[in-house]
Amino acid sequence: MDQRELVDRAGRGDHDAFALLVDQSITQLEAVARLILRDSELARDAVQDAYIRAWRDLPGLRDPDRLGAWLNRLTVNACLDVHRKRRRRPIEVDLSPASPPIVGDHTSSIADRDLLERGFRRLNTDQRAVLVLHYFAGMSVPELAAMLEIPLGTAQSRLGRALAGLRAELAALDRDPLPGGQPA
Amino acid sequence: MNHADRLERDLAVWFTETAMPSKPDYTDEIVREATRRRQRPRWTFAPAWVHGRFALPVAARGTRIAWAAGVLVLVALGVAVAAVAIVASQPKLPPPFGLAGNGLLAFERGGDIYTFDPKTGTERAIVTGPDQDHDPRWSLDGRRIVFARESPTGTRFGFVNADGGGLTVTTDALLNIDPDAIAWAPDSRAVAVAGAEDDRRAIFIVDATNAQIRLLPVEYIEFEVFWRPGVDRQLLFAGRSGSRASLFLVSLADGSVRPLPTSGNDPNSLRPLGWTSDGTRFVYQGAAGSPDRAVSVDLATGRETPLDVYRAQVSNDGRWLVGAAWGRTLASMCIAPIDGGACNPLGQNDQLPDFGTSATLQWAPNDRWIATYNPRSRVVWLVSRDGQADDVSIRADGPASWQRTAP
Repeated sequence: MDQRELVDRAGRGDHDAFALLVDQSITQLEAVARLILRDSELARDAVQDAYIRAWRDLPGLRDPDRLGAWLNRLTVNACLDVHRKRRRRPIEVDLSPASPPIVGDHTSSIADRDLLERGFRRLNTDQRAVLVLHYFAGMSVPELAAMLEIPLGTAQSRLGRALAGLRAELAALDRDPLPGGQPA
Repeated sequence: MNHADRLERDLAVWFTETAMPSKPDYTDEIVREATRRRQRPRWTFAPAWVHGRFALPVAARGTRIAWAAGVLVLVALGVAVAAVAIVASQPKLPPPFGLAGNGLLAFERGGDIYTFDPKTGTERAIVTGPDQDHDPRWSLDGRRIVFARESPTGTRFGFVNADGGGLTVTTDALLNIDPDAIAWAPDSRAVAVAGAEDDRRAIFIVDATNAQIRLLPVEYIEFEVFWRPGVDRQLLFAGRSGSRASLFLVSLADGSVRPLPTSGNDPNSLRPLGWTSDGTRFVYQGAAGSPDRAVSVDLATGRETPLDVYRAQVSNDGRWLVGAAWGRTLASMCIAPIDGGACNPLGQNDQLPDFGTSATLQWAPNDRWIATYNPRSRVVWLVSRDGQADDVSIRADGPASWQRTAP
């Protein structure tokens, strides 16, 4: 059964078809949510919210070929909602960072990764989302524009601003020593 | 390779390293949770609706007839007598603030709005159908319910009578609304709602009499908004004036905005929590030196009293707060006096609300019960304040709102 048929069936209330669609897409969406939110529990909440909305609104999805972009958008929106709520629960949320694996690292030192982690966390959720979608999910600028429903030029400048923001944060962290006195 | 190229490359590598994509073990749970809900019918996704306008026919004028005047007098007398009889038979309305009687609870389940009578344990569907409706809130006079309705263009707002009749829905929709920041005005003729405008958080006023929405021209940050008791349409919110963050009072009567006396001014911490019922004191979170702790503030003197509670709700009599015990790692529900003092534990672990929100904690209008919503178990718990009555549970998909009735 191809994706078009699955989308059509799921949009007509077929639970099994929806389960297959979830199975095919959840690994990618969970990774996107975890990268944006930097927290596994919050990512789980966001992914669940995204799929609940997807099930509800699937009958309105006119172009099954756009399922992937649509799910990405639902996930990013759910991440924004979850992030806003996170500000409301400072003591209940596990704020421990996603632990980076110490394998196959030929490009950057642990200190570099730590710097990236800290700089990335300083960005707002919109900026994080654009960077994750482009540099992790591999979405081109036109795809970003289509997914976010914004003009191509706006998508380009939004991506540029997010990258510039990250660069500025990294530069600021480079100047300031870590809390323990160790240079970043 | 320039610096920008290297950053982009490092970013892509770092994302790949830290993402560690793997199929999560909660996939089946997500499918179950999603598919137990109703899908929106295809016809509700129509790209545009044509809103027809119609006019009531103008009554034709008849020829004046002399004896008609006498008939009119009699009719007028009859109408006056009937009006007096109707007014006399109307149920007495509760005051907008202070103690009141307990009425029905309104809540959402599966995209429909229900009421629950805690006296009889009976449920009644109030708003059903294909639309996804949620977050019902009773007006302060206990006569109407406002609820949020999802649409392809955003969230609309519906108004319905207590018996489910008289449904009206706004034509305009808002984006990214905050269900915690839905507050009926004291006169029950409008509702303040937080949403988004041009990527900024904003407060809107939804007119319950004509379903029109207008933007309130203030610099709002986020979190709950509270109408001040005892005065005509003054709204408390966390906002900015220039670069300074503070709590503000905006008057809808004349549009004036004034800052309130608070020691805290961190835009990331400031959060209003409510008023005492006489409007002389307010409670907020984000005070200097202790941003997660609630403090009450005397509006006349500016004196702050720290409280051993956070995420708190002020009781209807203005003497107590229910919220999370302050300073404990595992949050527990407790009740503290507003003048300061220990916060006494209340309820069991399975009744713990989501302390991230305020709508999940609500005093009963008579202050003898607390309504909580636990998002994990999807249960509304009615917890007896003195432990003298058994708790009541209601299966729901969001927090409940308690109707005020005449004391």
